[in-house]
Amino acid sequence: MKGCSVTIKGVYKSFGATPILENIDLEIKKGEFFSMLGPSGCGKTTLLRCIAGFESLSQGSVFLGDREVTNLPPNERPVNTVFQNYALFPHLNVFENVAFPLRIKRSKTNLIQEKVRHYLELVKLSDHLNKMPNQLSGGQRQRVAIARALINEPEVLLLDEPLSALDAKLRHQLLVDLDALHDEVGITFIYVTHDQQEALGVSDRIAVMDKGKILQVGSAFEIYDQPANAFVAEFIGETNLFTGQVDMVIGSDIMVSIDQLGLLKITSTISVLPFSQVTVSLRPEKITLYHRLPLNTQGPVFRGIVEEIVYAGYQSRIYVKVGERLISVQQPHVVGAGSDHFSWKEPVFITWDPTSCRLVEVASP
Amino acid sequence: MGSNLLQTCRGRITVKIRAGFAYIAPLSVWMGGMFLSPIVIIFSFSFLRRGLYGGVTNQLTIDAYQQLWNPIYAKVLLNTLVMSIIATVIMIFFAIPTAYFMARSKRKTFWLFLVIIPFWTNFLIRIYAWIAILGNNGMVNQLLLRLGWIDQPLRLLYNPVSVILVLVYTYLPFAILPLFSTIEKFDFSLLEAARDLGATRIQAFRKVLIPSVKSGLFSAILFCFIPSFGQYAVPQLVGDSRAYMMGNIIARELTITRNWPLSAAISTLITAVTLFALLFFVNQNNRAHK
Repeated sequence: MKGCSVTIKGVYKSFGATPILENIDLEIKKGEFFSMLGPSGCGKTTLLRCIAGFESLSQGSVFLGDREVTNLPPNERPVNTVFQNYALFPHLNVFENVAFPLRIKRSKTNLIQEKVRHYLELVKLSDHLNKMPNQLSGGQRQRVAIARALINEPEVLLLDEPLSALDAKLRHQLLVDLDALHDEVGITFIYVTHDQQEALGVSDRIAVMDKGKILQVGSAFEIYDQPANAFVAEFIGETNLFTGQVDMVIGSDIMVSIDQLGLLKITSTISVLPFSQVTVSLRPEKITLYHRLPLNTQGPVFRGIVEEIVYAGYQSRIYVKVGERLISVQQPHVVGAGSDHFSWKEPVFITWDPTSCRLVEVASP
Repeated sequence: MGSNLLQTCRGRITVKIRAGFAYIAPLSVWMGGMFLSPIVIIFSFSFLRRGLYGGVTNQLTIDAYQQLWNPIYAKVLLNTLVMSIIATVIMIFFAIPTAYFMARSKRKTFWLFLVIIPFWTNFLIRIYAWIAILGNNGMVNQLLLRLGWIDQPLRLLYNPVSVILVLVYTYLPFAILPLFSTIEKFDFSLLEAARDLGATRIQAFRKVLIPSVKSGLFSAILFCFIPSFGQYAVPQLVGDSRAYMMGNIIARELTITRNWPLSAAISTLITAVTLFALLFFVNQNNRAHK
């Protein structure tokens, strides 16, 4: 298989006195679809630019395979980038844009013809060879940019928020295409985005970043189901966070006393000491909503009032007020069942399975 | 009904065209009177017989063009072409990096201001300033003498090099300004894209920046070449016989030998050459934009 692993060791980067990246260590495997996810300004694009060679590092090193590329200029690195604004050359048509890297290498004319046609076919743009970039739609431009970045047969393809300028429907379509393309060319993709759905949807692994640091690296399931801290839990999907103190530890069951909710039983996968301060994350879809007091439930039951309902087609997000707390609950709409209708200010009961709670932050006593 | 509508439309279009004429009429009169008529006069004088003490007589002849058929004029024409091309090349060579630097700088207005400052002083006075710098008793020679690097003043003035130097100095802003205004609009991330795709710094510059700012480059070349080609004052003040340009010949024929038809014929020739260059570049530019 083609492709190459990227290793980042102890990378620091600062602009003036402001640190942008702090102590980044990362290993990206061959052929992986790897995403770097974080809010804007978290340093993900800077990290990508460090791999591409546009930024010099303050400290640390970057390896492609076994080769150190820390001080190589961008044109000597076997990586190519799909830029956020596509950066197509406005004076060249589609064919010449894609042919650009080969023209630089002075490839033979018939080889250029053959390869450009192949890669434009790959991105389904064979009919637009002679169009200028300003005659293309956003999605088409993006495809040209991808073909142009792939034609040099890089070991790693870097994608800098390539879908952010497109509308939601097209974005979804292109994401699916991108995933298929990744399977087809088999090289390492490093994908930078602030959109968690994009990252969760296509990545083999995701690095969640904030304020220049990597908070967690893992598969989509891992970072969603076992977030490393409160930031990751809140950034990936929606969650309810409760902070409290561990009162008792009985095997894997711990009792956490939480303001307004009282003592909660949580089945934890990590061991904690009694009297630790902890933050508990509970996903809205793990909570069940009842009109009447449910019987035979394993978990705690709370009584609350429906404070707000946000309708979203296949489901509703219902905010239930328990004491002074607002708890977010995801309520799927079951076809044919009338019982899933809740109305504003209605008294309801909520419950969840104690194994659904996750400890996301632990401060030892 | 339909034909009525058509007529109304036609009427509107006619009104629009008439209104258009009304707008451009004052400008046409002005340009026609003040701009075109001297050219017509010069063109017609070139076909008249010379008067005994200057001026022209009312006899049609192609004498002036026959006199033009003299190797000396061909030599001067060639000299003028070579000097103005060299000057233009040097100007563009310096103007591209300067304009690039200005466009990427955070203090654009300041640099723009510095480029425009020389226009506050009269053109002739600035040429005399160069005489004060390069002359035998000029600042450069004084400095070199005082440093003991030379025993005698160097002859820095009155040669083709000094003419080209002063031409470059005079018209450099005309090269910088159009280039600056196009480079300023250039998307610099394209240079990064080119580098990413394997281009060296110089290749990125040549294959991406230069083609993207072609229109600015064309205007810069025209703004530098045309006035350099028609130059009179610079070679007159800082040049010698080797740096003779067509403008000097025209002045000589007009004021010393008093051969008006000949100077008119040379002027016509210069205009034709300039027009040819202009059409060539405009054509190239249009093709580049297609």
